[in-house]
Amino acid sequence: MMNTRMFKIFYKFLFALIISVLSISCSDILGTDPKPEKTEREIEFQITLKDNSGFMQILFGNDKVRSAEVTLKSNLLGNEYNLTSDSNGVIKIKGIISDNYIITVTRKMSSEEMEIISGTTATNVKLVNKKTRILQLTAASPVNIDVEMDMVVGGSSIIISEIYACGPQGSGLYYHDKYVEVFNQSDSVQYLDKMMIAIVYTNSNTGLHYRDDPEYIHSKSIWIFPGTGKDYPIQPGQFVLCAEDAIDHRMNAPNSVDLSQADFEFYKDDAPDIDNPAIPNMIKIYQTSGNDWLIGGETGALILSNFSADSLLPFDDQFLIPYRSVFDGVEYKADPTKLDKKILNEGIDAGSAGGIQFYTGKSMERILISDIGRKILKDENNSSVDFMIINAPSPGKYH
Amino acid sequence: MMLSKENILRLRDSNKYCSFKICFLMLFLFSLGNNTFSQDYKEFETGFVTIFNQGFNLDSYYFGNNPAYLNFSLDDEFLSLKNVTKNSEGEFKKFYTPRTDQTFGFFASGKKSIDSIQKFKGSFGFSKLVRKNWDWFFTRDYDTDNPFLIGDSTSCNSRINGILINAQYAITISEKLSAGVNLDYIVDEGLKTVSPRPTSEHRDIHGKLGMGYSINKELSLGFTLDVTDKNEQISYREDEGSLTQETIILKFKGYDFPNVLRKKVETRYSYINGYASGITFAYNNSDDFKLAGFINSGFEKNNIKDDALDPKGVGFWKDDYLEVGLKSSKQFSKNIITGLSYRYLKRNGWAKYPPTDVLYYERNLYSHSLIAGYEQIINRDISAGLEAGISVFSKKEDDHYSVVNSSIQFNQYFGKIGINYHWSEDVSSLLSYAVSARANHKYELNYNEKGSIYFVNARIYDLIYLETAFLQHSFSLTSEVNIWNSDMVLFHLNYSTINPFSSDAFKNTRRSEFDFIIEYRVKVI
Repeated sequence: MMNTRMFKIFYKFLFALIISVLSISCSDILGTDPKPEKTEREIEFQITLKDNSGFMQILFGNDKVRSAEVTLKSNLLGNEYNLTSDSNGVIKIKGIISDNYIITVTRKMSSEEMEIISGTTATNVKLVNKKTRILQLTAASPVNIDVEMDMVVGGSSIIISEIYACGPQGSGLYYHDKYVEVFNQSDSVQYLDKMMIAIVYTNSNTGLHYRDDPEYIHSKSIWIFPGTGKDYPIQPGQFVLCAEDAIDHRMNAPNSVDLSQADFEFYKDDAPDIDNPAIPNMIKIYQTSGNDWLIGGETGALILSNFSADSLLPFDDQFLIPYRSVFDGVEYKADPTKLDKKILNEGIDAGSAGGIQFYTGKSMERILISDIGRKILKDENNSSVDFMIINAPSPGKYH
Repeated sequence: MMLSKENILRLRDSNKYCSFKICFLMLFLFSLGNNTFSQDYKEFETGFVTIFNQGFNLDSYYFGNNPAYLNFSLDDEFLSLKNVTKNSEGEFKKFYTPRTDQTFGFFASGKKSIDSIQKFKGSFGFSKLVRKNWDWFFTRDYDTDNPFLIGDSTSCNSRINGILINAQYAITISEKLSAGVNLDYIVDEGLKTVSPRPTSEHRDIHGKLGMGYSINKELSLGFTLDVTDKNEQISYREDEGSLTQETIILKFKGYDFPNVLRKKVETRYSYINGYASGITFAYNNSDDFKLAGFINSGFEKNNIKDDALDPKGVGFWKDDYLEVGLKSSKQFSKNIITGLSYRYLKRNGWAKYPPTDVLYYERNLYSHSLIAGYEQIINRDISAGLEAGISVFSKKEDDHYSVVNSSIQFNQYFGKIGINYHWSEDVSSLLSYAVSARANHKYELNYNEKGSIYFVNARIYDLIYLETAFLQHSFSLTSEVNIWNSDMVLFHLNYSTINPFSSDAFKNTRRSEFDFIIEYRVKVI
């Protein structure tokens, strides 16, 4: 047994220690995360739109973009906020959650304004936010943010209007009814001859992708429309359906779709693929694996390009398609909020459609913004805001 | 005077007709947390807090959870086999509470002196939690106010099976100084029984170090240090049953606006660490008056991460707490015993979203609970008792993320009567009835009028439940049968019914609770 006096001293020391522990905070001693000073939804953000084109300087004597339509979409919750910039080129927003926001800003230039600027009455000129597509708005981040805007003339004449990839409900693992639909957004006849549809390469197992390649799309599945120049016109406002197999899939899967009236069919002639002889076939340029044209059921990316198949550049086991030739590109993901895992360059598609699971019969369709005279579909080069989910596919038409 | 083994046995013999021991405080609704591990299955239930216990629980081991005082426990050495069944069901509940909540447990424990200065107590148990008609949620410890909860769009049954191991060791270092440690280890696995069939795994470790020092023969002081480490993993996988069916995963960060994800695969990790320290004390001037108390302060933090391949922080929850307890027993005469118990609990919690380091949620609560008891020994075979108490409770929540703010203050009144009867030398029974009522003083609820259906149709009931006044009736029966002069069988039955009376939201609803515990004890010579 130890000396009793020593124990008294020892115990007094311990007692003092425990009082100290209690009087200071345990949290302080153990160095836990401090309580944040900023509270969610309390901050008012101010976004200033600045013009790089010089148009605003000519019109109003400063570079602030007034009367621009701004859409902020929360990446996590999906709510959208529509705002218009004031005469100082500023929008203010308060009470929103901290999140990454997909921002689309458009300032259409009127013919009167263009006449002042350039002496012409062009009507297809607009200012858009090409450089800043995603804003992190958090209570802990700066509250004053500048967004630069650049001039864009026109838009893509032919765009991807719908992608159906997941497969139908209630028919097991049936997946042969996939399709992609393209649409003539312009006000003039366009031609699909030799236009390219390519699946953007990614390897989900290794995580390999080429999102940050500065110049090229990488692809291992490249198909082109048939024709020699003006054989396959697409009228303004016309939808063209390209089916994996152009048959009435309802024979095999009751909840599927009838694609027997498709405009084109992907037929892989070196594999036991289905061929509907009544439907023109897409031409396979390069696809080494699989028995059919096959896009990812939940995750993938497609591009539409006018690049010549003869000019494709080989790279490893892929071919390269220059960004400058891309008419349209759409990425879709099982979890479209995970934009950090994008596979398509943000310059082509800043966001992601999707959020559809396998075999649910759902489809992704571009949002209709105008139906006066002809349909105008949303094309902000950002699938997070351009596309919506529809509960059943609508091949060859708007739902 | 410090009780010796001989004194303990003499005391027990002299009061044999009233040999029930007290259960740990069950009345106090809000004493959640870190100090319940080893106490859960330690003592047998009577339902009374301050009486019908002969003051056996009035030391720093039972009231303060200081393992150093295992040496001075009044327990006999015995081996115990115990079966616990609990069932709670009904529609008077929070939204995130299962409609039916069942607990089944089987525990074996034993206590033995290693030598004259060392003692050991260990237990091993199996437990099964069955949660029927549980809407959405799948987090085991969902009721901690941590706003980061994960679930899916299904309502169904879940079960969690696990094993629990407890070891306690105490040593008398000197005549006045003792030390002890307590270790709890729990592992369990959960499964939701319908597609998408998420699974969960938990591993909980809780260690406690205690020291005790006898200042004089009447007063002893001690301190405790607690460390808790828990892991939880909830996994959603591509279940065959969900292959052709849509899975909707809900990730809550507050009462409203969950992230709604149509995906089949997700993994959530929760890493929970807790630290606490405390002071215990006990005063015992004679067999007539005993007093014990504790002050315990600590915190628990929970780091929540999602994604199996690349885990990223999606939530951080921290809860600071302070507990104070004081309990006394006074024997005025040979036939009159009184008891008094007071408890104070304060909890301040907050949550942030790590990617943005912004405060999402704050919750402050406190409760005071006071119970007084009076026991009259009528004759050698009969004793009667009365307990009455009041709890004062206050809770304030600010859910900045969901724009939901609430505050509530209420009193809960409690009364309980019981009679203990000795049928023979070896058989006795305690029958009791209790009534408890909640009355609200102040209630405020403000929320975003543009709230989503997840709040307006569902989680708002988590808040309305709290503000709903109710009346609870409880009936319990506890019996003890001594067999073969060495063994003992004890059982406890309790039935409660809770009926709300101040809310349209819970009109014509009720909740009932049924507990049954049976224990077989074998004395170790």
